[in-house]
Parts: sequence; structure tokens; C-alpha cells
Amino acid sequence: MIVVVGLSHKTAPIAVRERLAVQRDALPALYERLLSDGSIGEAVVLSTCNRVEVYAAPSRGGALEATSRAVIAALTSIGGDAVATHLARKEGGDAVRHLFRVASSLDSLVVGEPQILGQLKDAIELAREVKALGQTLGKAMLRAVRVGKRARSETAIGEGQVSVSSVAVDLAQEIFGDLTGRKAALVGAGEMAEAAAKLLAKAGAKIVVLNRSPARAKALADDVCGEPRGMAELERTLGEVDIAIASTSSPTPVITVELVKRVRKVRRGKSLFLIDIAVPRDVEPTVNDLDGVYLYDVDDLSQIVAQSLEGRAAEATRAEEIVEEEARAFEHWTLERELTPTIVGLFHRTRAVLLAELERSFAGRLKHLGASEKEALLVMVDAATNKLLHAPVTRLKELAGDARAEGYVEAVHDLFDLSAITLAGGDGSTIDGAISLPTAGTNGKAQSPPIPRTPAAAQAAASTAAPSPRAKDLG
Amino acid sequence: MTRALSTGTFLVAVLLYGVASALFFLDVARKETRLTLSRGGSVPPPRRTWMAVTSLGVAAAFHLAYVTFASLVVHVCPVNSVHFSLSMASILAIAVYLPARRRFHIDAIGVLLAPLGLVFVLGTFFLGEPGPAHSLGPVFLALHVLANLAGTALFLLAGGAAMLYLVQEKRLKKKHTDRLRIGNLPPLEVLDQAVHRFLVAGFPLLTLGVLTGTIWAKSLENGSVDEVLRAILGYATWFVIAAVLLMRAAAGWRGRKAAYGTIAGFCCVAAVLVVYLVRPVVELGPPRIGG
Repeated sequence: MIVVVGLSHKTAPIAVRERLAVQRDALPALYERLLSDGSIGEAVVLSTCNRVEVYAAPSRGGALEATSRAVIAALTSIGGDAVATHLARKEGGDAVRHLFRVASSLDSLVVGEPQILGQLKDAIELAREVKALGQTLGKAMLRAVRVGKRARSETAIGEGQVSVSSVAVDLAQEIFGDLTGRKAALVGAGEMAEAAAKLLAKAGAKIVVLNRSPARAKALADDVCGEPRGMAELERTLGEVDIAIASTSSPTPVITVELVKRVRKVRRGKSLFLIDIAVPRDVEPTVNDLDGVYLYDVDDLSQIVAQSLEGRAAEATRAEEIVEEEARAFEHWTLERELTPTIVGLFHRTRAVLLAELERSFAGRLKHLGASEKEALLVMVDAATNKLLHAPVTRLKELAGDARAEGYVEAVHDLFDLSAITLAGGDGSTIDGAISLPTAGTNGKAQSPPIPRTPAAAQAAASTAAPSPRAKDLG
Repeated sequence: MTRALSTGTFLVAVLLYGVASALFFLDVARKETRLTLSRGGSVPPPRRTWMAVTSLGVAAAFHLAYVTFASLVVHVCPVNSVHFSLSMASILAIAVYLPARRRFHIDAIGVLLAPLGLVFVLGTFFLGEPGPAHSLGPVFLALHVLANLAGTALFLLAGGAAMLYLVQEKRLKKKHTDRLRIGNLPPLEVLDQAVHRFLVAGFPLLTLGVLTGTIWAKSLENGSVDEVLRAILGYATWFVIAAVLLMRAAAGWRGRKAAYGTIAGFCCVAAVLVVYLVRPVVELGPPRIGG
């Protein structure tokens, strides 16, 4: 099971979100902090302009509650107490559903926007690089990417693309009309900002690219047939251009009220349209109070886009159905996966007890038995074990996907003290001979394929005993 | 026959102005957006816009016909009576608007011009009969009255564009995204340019009107309160418009400041017209003309 803790445009305004915005180069440190906590086994940090969320799975034997608390502590240490009240938490099936909704862009401000899937893939890749991804969360993430792709391919949720960048250009046209010959500055280099700059160039605007790295500025300028400049020329550039798109990774605003006031004197009343696509914001919000200056941040733009996409509601409903279907399948798979060690442990525990008694008898009163009789007794023990455990194992498998399954599993663990047994060796005994694990056949009768007697083999048998309908997808 | 034509053309003008007003209002309030522009597409102006502009143009033509027939009925030259002059100003404003809307993309100003035309045609019909005309020479008519009429028409357009500028500017500033229907109003800079150009075009005409008015005031006026008030407001209009143009050139006054200045000047023009209109009603009572 997994847990998700974080905030998004739905739970926190941009002023709060920017406190928690973690730049890519700071992510490894956050991962280090998360994984240093004993209760977190796996983690993926998804940090975009609209959300900062940590998906985590408990370490072996850890509890979801402890994992949630550890994640909250890590996030609060970054954003301060101000973010604590805005943090949302989901666990288990709800967390999986949320992840799938995020991947399908159903939780995005702009439903159907294409960027989130790429951002999720990047987050997964980074988590893999820092070795923060394991079995449980890894499967959930892979499945989320598949769900996202499925939602986009099986519904029209992403059709009629209206993006934040295209709305930014439309707003520019609302202010300036024809953009031919207008000048626009791209300050920094975010994905959306670049897209907006390209659209502005397409609309006829001349682009000036400002970047701290001259090489990056030149590369971007070449992309949009623009002019590269250093960040030191920001003030001069703002005096010349009509539109400025800010998207730097600066933790503090790069375009301040004072700077814009100075620029306005040079501009002699000409309108200036500022588009701030950065989180944390690059432009001081009070700049919008100045006469002739129009400032739109990512939330403003996204709201306009969202309103223009109300027609996608029907497609979103269809995508929600896909998410629900996939979430149920994933839960089923997870529970089956959790059942495997329980079933193996049951068999292992029962056989171990019986074999120990048999060994004692072979050494005592049954010392006179020959090899063939001993083998016959071993076969009898196998058969007895299978018959004895057939009903509870079948019942457990039938419960996979049922809300009561977890309770049953816990009860079995407690009653038979299975925590003392591990699959990697159990009590250390190895058993010769054949053992059959019952499986719930289509007719409900036990089927007993013979398998080797090592615990690992037993685990393999249990996991293949009743395959999930989607087990092959999760491989 | 002339009276019947006068009444007929009046009714058609009123009907068409009403239709144009409704269509322009619906056009400005429409929900379609232009969100495909930046992706290389474009939404053509709806049929409603074309119908609204056509209705306004035809209404103005019938308005002109009505003024012509009504002036024949009461034997008053259209430019020698404040009633008809108001009508002529609105007709001129529409005549300037029709070609200008294509050049400046200011279709939305029709939302102000159509009701204005309706008000002026009704005003001409229902206000008091024109007073005895001054025996003015053709030079005076050409210079003073026509200059003031054309100037007023251009200031009507400038005032309309300035009002739309303020509406659009406020929507963009306040980010009223629930009401921000991109594509329904002209772009801010276009409106600012339109305001400036109408002012630049109207200012020389206003100057000419003020000058000729000053020169002929002695022979035409008797120093009554309304005449003094009208003169003061006329000069105030000239100073306000001059200040707006000067500040734009010297101090970069654009946008909101220029719009407020333009509206102030427009209010002065409107006050002059009110003084013109109120006097005959007060002095002569309100018998209808042309009807």
C-alpha cells in the first residue's frame, strides 16, 4: 500500500505552493531526507507548478501512518508551518486513485493538459536514479503512467488542445492586437514559457531570450529565431519589449515593483504584459497594480484555460471510469501480492511442524522404517497439509479485492505467528520431496500441481496459483 | 406627403437603431472565445456582427432621410437647428465609424453608437420645435456649424472608444476570468490608438468651431446665462482635449489616463449639447416636429 502527502492548486494558493516548490537540483537532498527516515521505504516526489506531492510506501514492516507522518515532517521542514494546514493526505486505495487521476490529468487545473504525464515520468526516473523506487511504489507508478496513456488514447480528454501558453498568447493579442513586429522577452527557460515564446514568434513577435547561461540563451534564441541576452540586461530589455514571459528557477522575484516602476518611465506609458509561469513566482504580484502593466501568473492563465475547456466534462467522466477500473484492478493485484507470503508462510509453517514431528519419529519409534516407507509418510504429510490448508487458502484468495481481506491476512499472521517466517528462508529448513499448493480452480476444486519444496519455489507457486487478471501488465 | 415620409423614415430609423443596439449588445456579450488564434486558426466574426453593422448603417441612412424630410416640414436647415444638429452629429459619427471599424477593428463601438443614434433620432422627434434661425451666412455655416458637428461626431467616437478601453482594461486588470471572454472587445492598444486618432482628427475641427464661435459671438449672442455657460463649456472642452493630446506627446499619457481625459472632454461636449437642448424646451415648450 502507498500514501500520498502534498498540496496542489486545489488545496493551496500559489503563495503557499511556492513555499514548497522544490527545484530539480534540490530533489536528491529531499529524497535523502525522506529515505533516511526508517518508516519510508520508497518515495517519489512530483513537483510541478501546480502541485508538490510525495508518494511513499512504508519500509518493510512499517505502517502507513508512520510513513505519512514522516513525509509531513519532511515537507513542513521545507515550507514551514504555513504549508502544514494545506497538506492533503491519502492512503491505500485512495492514494492509488489520486495518483491515477493525476497521471490522467483529471486532477490538473487544465483537465487534459499533456504536460503532467511527462512530469510524472521525469519524477519516476529521478526516483529510480536516487534508488528511491522499489517494488510497491514502482508498480504503482508504472501503472499510473499506463493509466494516463489509456485515458488520453481512449477518451478525447486531450483533444482541442488549449494550453497555458496558448492562452498567454491570446491575452497578449487582447492587449496588443496584431503581434506582428511586437517584441517579447523570454526570461529564464521553463517548458511552458518556451512554448509560449514559440507561439509568440509564430504570431509575428520578435523574441529576446534572457538567461543566466549564455549558451542556454543562445540555444533558446536559435529555437525561436530570437536574440540572446544576459540576465544583466533585464531592465534594458523590459524597457524595450511589450511582453515578458518569466520562468526562472529563482527562489525570489526577479521582476520587482521598483524595477517595473523604473522601466515605466522609459516606456512612456506603453502597455507591458507580464506572464509569470514560474513557481516560486518571478514577478512581484503588486506589479499588477501599476498603470499600464498587466500581470498574469500561472493560476490566472490556468483558470482561463479551465473555463475554456468546460466541454471536456463528458470526456473527463469517461476518464474517471478508466481510473476507477484501473484502481480496482491494482488494489486486487496488490492484495493478491500481499496474500502470497501469507499462503507460503502457512504452508511452510504447517509442513515445518509436521516434518519436525516426523523427523523426531524417524529418529525414535519409526527408526525401523525403510526409505520407501519414509517417502510414503512424507507424501502423506504433503497431502495432509494440502487438504488441511485448502479451505482457508481458497477462502483467502476469494477475498482478494474484498475490503475484509486485510483483516483476514492480519488474523492469519497473528494466529499462526507467520511474522517469524520469512520467505528468504523461513526457519531455515529445506524440505525435500514434492508439495502441492491448492489453487482455486474455476470449478472451485483444488488443483495440485507439484512444485519444488524450497520456500522461494513455494512463493513462486503461490504467486502463480491464482494470477490477477492484470498481473502480466504489472510485470 | 412629406410629413408622411418624415414619419415613415423616423419609424424605420427607430426600428433599425433598436435592432442594431440589440445585435451589438449580443455581439459584445457573446460567449465565443478566440482561443484558437494562437494556434494558427481564427474564429471569423459572427454573422450577428455583420447584421448589426448593416442595421446601423441603414438606420443612419433612414435617420438622414428623416432629418431631411423633417427639415422640409418645419422649413429649417438641418445644420441651423440644435435638434437636427444633434441628429447630424450622430449620423456623421456613424458615417466615420463604418469605414473606421474595418481599419481599427473597433466593431464594438457600435454598442454605444447605435443607442446614441436611437436617442438622438427620438430627441429630434420629441424635443421642442426649433427656434427662429439666425440669418447666418454660408461661410459661418461651413466653418462653425459643420466644424462643430464633425468635431462632435469624432468626439462621440473617441468617447465611445475610451469607455470601451476602460471596460476592457478593467477586465484584464482584475482578471475577471469568469467574464473574460476573449475576442468580444477590441484589443486595448487598438482602442487607445482609436481614441488618439479620433481626438487628433476632431481637435482641429473643434479649434475651428471655438475660433469661429468666438469671432461671431458678438453678432449672434446676447450674453444670456445659457450662452455664457455654453461658451465656458466649449472652451473647457478645447482645453481638456488639448491637454490630453499634449500630455500624450510630452509625458507619455496613454491608456487609462488618456481615456479618462477623453471622457472628460466628451462630457464637456455633452454638456454643451444639453445646454443647447434644454433652452428651447424651457423657452418654447415641447411640440413635436416632423411627426
